[in-house]
Amino acid sequence: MMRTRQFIAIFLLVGGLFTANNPVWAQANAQPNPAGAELVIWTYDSFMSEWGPAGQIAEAFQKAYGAKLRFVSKGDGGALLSALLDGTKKPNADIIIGLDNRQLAKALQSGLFVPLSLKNLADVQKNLLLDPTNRLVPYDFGQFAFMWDSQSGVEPPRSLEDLTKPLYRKKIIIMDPRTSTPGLGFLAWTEAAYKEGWKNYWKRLSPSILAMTPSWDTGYGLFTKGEAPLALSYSIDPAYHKAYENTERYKALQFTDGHPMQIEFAGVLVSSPNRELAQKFVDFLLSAECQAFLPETQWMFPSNTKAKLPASFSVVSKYPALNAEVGDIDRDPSEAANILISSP
Amino acid sequence: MTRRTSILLYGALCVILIFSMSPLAAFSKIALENARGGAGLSEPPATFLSTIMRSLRFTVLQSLASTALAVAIGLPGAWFAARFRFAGRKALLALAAVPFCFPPILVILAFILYYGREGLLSSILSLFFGPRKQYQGFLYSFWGLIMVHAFYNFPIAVHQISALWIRIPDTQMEAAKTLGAGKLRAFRTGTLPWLLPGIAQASGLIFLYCFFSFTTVLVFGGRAGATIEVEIYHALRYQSNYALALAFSVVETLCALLGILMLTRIQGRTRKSLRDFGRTRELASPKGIQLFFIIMYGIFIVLFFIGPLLSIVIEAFKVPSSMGGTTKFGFGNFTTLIRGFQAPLLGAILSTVRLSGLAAVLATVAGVIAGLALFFAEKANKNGVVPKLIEVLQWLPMAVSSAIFAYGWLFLSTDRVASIALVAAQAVIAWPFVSRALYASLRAIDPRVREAAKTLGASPFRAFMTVELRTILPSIAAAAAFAFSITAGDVNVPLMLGMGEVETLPLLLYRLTAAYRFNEACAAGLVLGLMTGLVFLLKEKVIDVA
Repeated sequence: MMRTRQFIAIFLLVGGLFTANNPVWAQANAQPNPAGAELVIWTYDSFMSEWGPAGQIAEAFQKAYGAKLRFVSKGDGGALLSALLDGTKKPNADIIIGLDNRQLAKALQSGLFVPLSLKNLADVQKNLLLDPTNRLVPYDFGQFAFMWDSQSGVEPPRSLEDLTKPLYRKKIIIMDPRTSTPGLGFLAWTEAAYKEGWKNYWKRLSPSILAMTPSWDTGYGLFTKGEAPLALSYSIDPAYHKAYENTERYKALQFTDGHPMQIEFAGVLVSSPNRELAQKFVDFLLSAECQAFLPETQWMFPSNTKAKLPASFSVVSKYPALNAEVGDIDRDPSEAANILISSP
Repeated sequence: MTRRTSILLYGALCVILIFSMSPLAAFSKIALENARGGAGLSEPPATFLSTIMRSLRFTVLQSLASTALAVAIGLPGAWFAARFRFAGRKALLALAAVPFCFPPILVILAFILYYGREGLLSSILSLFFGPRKQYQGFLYSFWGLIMVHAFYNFPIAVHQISALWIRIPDTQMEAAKTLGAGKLRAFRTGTLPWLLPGIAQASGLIFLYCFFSFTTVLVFGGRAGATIEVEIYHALRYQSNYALALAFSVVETLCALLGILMLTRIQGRTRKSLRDFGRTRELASPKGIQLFFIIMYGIFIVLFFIGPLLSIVIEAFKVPSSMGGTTKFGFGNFTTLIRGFQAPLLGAILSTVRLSGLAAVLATVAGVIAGLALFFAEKANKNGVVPKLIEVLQWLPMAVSSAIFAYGWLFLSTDRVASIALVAAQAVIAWPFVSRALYASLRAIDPRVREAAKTLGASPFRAFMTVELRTILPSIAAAAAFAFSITAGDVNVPLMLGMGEVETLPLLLYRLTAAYRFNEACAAGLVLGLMTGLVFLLKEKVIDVA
């Protein structure tokens, strides 16, 4: 009985301590920006993961401006936009990083962003400036491509059409267009290549798809673990394998259809109490200094033309671009995903 | 019933009602406003309906298949455990703690590690059968999902069915045999009728768990389909479509209530089976072929179920090389998690302990109130409205998506603070476990002890304090520990809420798993497993002391 009592006493004591003084509580209840000392940035998982650029950027920014950055991940790109547009919850952030060109129109429509005047914008590659009002500014870009495992013994495909061949049965990993931006990019790719016939293409593609993963991380992880010889990804990925693994085993494939671009944008929220500082940060994000962090963390091209490219990027080739948009961003992604889910 | 007790009872009932129902009401209100504002149902009703029907069909199908497989795996084990004495019998029965103490996210990780293409199992198999054949990504198909569900839940079948089987005597079967029936026929007439309710009860429980399966389907489902729970997640997180989420959850709850109704009916029948045969039977030593089958079964369980769990421990200490070198063993994964950018591990441990500790305390308080209220209400009036209502409320968290509770609390909290919603929602999910445990131990007290205390001159209050309270305190502590274990391992609520501000241990685990950083995920998983598992050990201890 004695031990029982001790146990209960300890349990109640510990329980009481939690209730009485709970720092998590205090932190969560605190105003998002006490005295302007900290900027809150909403982004997606891989930007702030241990391999992402967030750590280096935060350190450099604090050195230059003395202000702290707090990164908050909203999951993947799809969840980021959804969290932003959720009418019932106010976005308690200053800055958003990570919306892509296919989400741009919907994000701008919301009226949540302020126009920015940034001096580093002059150095940004001109064809990336899709928003003439400069509310959302491009910080990096890349091209979608299928990655191929050259040791798989599977012949590399040369076009979207090739992917539907029986030879590739259950050999391809793509991402869910409802939740991830590469998934959405692939949908745009097929819509640009097949016009009205894209749904038919997805039906024909269905037998080839091994998995449709919720995020790029998961899909590419599956691919490098050897679960499939082909995965939707970016043309820059060979540079990653060159830099970290010193291998050219994984190759990006050039398709005859052309390759759609992904451009990623950042912006400052109207509701931010620290707009001045936030604008300074976005300007910093576009500076050649900060842009140099991006190639080997984001594995994307920096948008600033003056930023230096690392040696690993020598294995990356640029492909003929294909202008690709999603027709109906509210409906097409779920229709595409449903084609894959309901068929074998 | 005195006036004072009835006031107390109704007070308690109100507290429980408000605790359980207010988040549901809050969610429904916002969802309906959302729908009226036109933001919700942009799709025509026909596609809306077909989406729901498709996901309902998939949910039911996968639950049925998973349950069938889990019971099939569990039945031999239940028979062995009910009839024979053998080394490892206790361990086999104790496996039933796994589904409760180890969160699905941990088991998912174990399965990918073990059954994946580069996993331990396929490496071992390739030693015997040569290089791997064409890998078809079995884990990511419909049957892969079924297998994960079945292995996760089969210990429940072993535990529940054997608990009943051990009380069914052979007399009836022997009688049938003397009357000339064959072995099979004797079993069918002599044992099966008493055993069936037990099988049905275990099946019903497993079906319900699979019906609400979320993380497993999210990770493995992909192309196979989406359960209603996953659809709710999509609607909330990616479409911010509360009306759609509400529609899904109404369908889900109706189905679950139907299942629960059937389950409670069956439970009544198993109680009858238990009453018919009071004593448990003697266990026999297995002979010859029986021993062979027990050993084969043991190997099967170790190979397919224990193996994956052990591989977490191994992988946690395996440090992958980044520059194409060899892998080493050591604490590298832990140090990366502790010292790396934004040092996720320690923060995650702290916030898990804090938030789940708070949720467990809340759940314990609510559970104790409910358990006591149920006990006294039943004592006062067996067929009254109050005990029925409390019993129904106890089932509620098993019938309603945790997402709805979480978002309901989110809408209720003035600043939409996610951590408040997390604590409240997890408490709502965990309290029935506390109240059930408490109620069961209150009922187990022999009324004569209490009467004895009273005849010795104790006032009713004093009698309650010395007899009942003393007896139930350990089970309250055990239930509280159990509540902590459930809330600490829960990844559904934080995932549904999309919490970016606070990272809990299961959330970190999910993120690492999703990014395929398995070794670090295993390191975090080991910490989580120790935390929830340790609580379970404590609980066992407390039960022993009692």
